[in-house]
Amino acid sequence: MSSIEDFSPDQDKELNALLNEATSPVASDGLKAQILDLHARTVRLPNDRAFGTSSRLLNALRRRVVPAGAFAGLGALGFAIGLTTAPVSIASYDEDALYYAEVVVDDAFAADNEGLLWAAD
Amino acid sequence: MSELSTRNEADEILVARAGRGDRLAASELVMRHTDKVMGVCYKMLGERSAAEDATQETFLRLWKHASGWKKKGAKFETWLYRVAMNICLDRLRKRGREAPEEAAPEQIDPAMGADASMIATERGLLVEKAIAALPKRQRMVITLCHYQELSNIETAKIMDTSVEAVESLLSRARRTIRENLLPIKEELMEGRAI
Repeated sequence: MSSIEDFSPDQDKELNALLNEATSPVASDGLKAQILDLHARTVRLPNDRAFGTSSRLLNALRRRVVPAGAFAGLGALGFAIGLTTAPVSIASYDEDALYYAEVVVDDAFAADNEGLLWAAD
Repeated sequence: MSELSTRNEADEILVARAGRGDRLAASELVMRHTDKVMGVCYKMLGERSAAEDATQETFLRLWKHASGWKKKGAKFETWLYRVAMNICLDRLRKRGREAPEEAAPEQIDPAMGADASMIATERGLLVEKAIAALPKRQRMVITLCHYQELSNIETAKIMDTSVEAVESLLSRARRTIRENLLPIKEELMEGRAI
């Protein structure tokens, strides 16, 4: 295998001198400005990042909580309507209260209609 | 953070700051490394506009990774050169699909150097042509070891190979360049004296 020692020190120096003849372009100011602009567009500031995080969180909440809230609202409305209408229907079907209800018989009515009241017996 | 303290800051700290959106740190990194990255890309791609594109892409990758960049053994500069080299290799591969890239090194026509006035203005281009004619890996080694003055160890890290492989590639690259430039060596040397 060949190695760099194949060259004499003079040849080595000569080759280095030749290689140094190659131009080495420098980056223009415009290119440097573009690269810095890329930095500004690529790396967001911490405040932007925090704002980004909170806005993402709000969006997620809006997507998930709002529909659930709407369903909950409808449910609550239904419950409220149910509560307001419930006493009427419950009274209609309170069979115990009907069964044990005291019948108050007016004495005057009983006296006037004595015959009628017990006529069936 | 002041401009003066930024100028004395290590690359690794500047990268972390740039990743947090610090424009001053980013600017210092650009000042320190753009020319070097541009030099590497130019030697690998052989065209200024292609080298500028590759330099921009290298920095774009840096900005994207800056906030999470961690030193894993290698220096920041080694990492940056590696990114630049990978981008250049990708581009050469794409070019290679259009025209075979690893063809036999092109011989330089000695007649090109016959005119002394042309030699004076074109000798740099002739050397560049000799470098461009090298196979990719030899070109990488010459670029990193000779032009960027990196050690064989650093070059091996960038190329993800052994130090012995770097030495071998460097030796072959220098021999090939010398063989290609030998026919016009006298003219080149005379040209320098002009």
